[in-house]
Amino acid sequence: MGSTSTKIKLRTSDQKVFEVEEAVAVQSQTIKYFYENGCPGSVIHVHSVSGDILSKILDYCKKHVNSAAGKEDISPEELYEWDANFVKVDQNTLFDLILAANCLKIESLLDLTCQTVANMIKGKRPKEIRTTFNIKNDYTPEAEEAVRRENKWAFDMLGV
Amino acid sequence: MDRMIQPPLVDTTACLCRVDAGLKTVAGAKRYVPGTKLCLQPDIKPSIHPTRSKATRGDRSRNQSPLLPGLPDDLAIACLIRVPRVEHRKLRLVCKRWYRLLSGNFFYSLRKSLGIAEEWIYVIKRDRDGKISWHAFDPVYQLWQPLPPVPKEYSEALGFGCAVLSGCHLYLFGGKDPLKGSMRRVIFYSARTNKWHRAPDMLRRRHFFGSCVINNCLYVAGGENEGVHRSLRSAEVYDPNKNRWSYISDMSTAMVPFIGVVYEGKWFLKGLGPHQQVMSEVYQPETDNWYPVYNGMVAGWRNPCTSLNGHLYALECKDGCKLRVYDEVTDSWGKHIDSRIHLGSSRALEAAALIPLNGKLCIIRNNMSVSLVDVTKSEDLRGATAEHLWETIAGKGLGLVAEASWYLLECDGVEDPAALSMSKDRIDH
Repeated sequence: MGSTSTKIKLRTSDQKVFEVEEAVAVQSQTIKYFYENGCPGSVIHVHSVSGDILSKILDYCKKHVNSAAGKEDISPEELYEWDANFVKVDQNTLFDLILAANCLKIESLLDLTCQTVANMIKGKRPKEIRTTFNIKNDYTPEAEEAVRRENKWAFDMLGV
Repeated sequence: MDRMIQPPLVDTTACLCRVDAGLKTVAGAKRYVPGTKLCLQPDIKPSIHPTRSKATRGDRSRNQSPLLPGLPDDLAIACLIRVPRVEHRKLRLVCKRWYRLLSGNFFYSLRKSLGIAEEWIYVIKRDRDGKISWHAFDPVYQLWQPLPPVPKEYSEALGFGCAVLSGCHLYLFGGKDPLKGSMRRVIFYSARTNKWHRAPDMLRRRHFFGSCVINNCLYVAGGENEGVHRSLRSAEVYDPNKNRWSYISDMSTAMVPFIGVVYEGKWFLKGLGPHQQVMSEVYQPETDNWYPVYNGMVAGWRNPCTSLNGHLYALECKDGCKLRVYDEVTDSWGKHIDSRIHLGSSRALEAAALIPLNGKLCIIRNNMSVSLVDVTKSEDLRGATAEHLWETIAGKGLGLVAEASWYLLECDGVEDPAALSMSKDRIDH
């Protein structure tokens, strides 16, 4: 495998050049579009993605392509595990992966990374969520208490 | 906004890619990527990347802090909609923008269009002392969720109706107050706001009537009323978009229905007529006509019953271990799906309700245990045992309900209830 297949050249925002197998690169719908509508041998510039992030993303694509093509003997559970490890990164990297997955249009990766953020929210208290994501609490204590009460339960305009 | 309806790929972030034409001539390059905008993929909007074209974003969002600092809002929303429903109420406490997001329709329609909306089962039950209470069951986390109490006028009511409209509004209507008698009242609970609201009263007071939802309109028919003409022929419809009740054609005779189902777009009702005779009528909404029906469907029809994927299901055994399916070809309830695992014949194990839940058939028993049956896989069984189609997702729920009260303090989230078990007088424990 590999040596005979067509390679696609990608250049990142920090001018790093990657030579990627076609099957791996076209996991990105954006690259696929440019590849199919561009001309053979040309370099596709991926301006908004850095070399570090692209290299990670290509790892992801390679793993999934190989597993789908049966080139790698990996069970769905193992792939799931691999994905789980793949997104064990710091928050900046995770957000960069989300931005890149969206830009490159890699649906499964966008799904995985967004779900990871959702999982980071899961089980945390509002205060912890604010700290984790650097969100400013713009509630006054009274307003926050009102939402808390509303969350519990509330009756509205019932003539009782 | 319309772009955001097609996630998970959200198109508004910074994304600039370019093809180098290499050794190709200018003419050649033009043929492949027309126009001068070689560097932009056509369906990706110019960027909102902070270092690039800031001005492309509207004023509104420029003045707001981002939903998740570091991500454009559409991608932040793509993350937030993936948080399970059980956590939603907590999210409202994070900041005002999250509160607004969680209160709007957009968030939930997005979840729905992505197929990640979570349906909860709402069970209304009457205790031995006649008090009405209700509980929500989250089938994913298999937890009973606490709910704001049922408003006072329904806390002891008899023979009221219950239905879900617009996916997230649970309506209670009509019924008989032990002191004040028959009611016209209509209230609804919004699972998005977790509040009870008032809706316009019905045109007639009635209790022990039939009700159904067709095309998001609520139909009620027959039932009883105090006074000279005890049973009613009249029927009415409520359209939530018009926020108004209006009469539809009267039934051919007065009836106190005891079972009803919507099947093939028509509303079937079976009940007791003015002389206590069993009778059946069917309503066709397109023509606004009622007509009597005497086929094998109504003859073998038993409560509880529901329609799922165009098929009618009922119980063959009271504990829900065996189901019967209506077969239109033979006009009989001749088909069966049998788990061959009989749970028992006690009243606690009797199924109180059958409801469709995420393409499966959900059985709720008097002891609040819940089972799912994957009836879609029953076609290729050919008489073989169907035990593997049954899955218990809640054991006896009552113990859990008592314990679950601590959820009220922390993260009690509710979204769109699509399924509802109307158990009324049948549940007691």
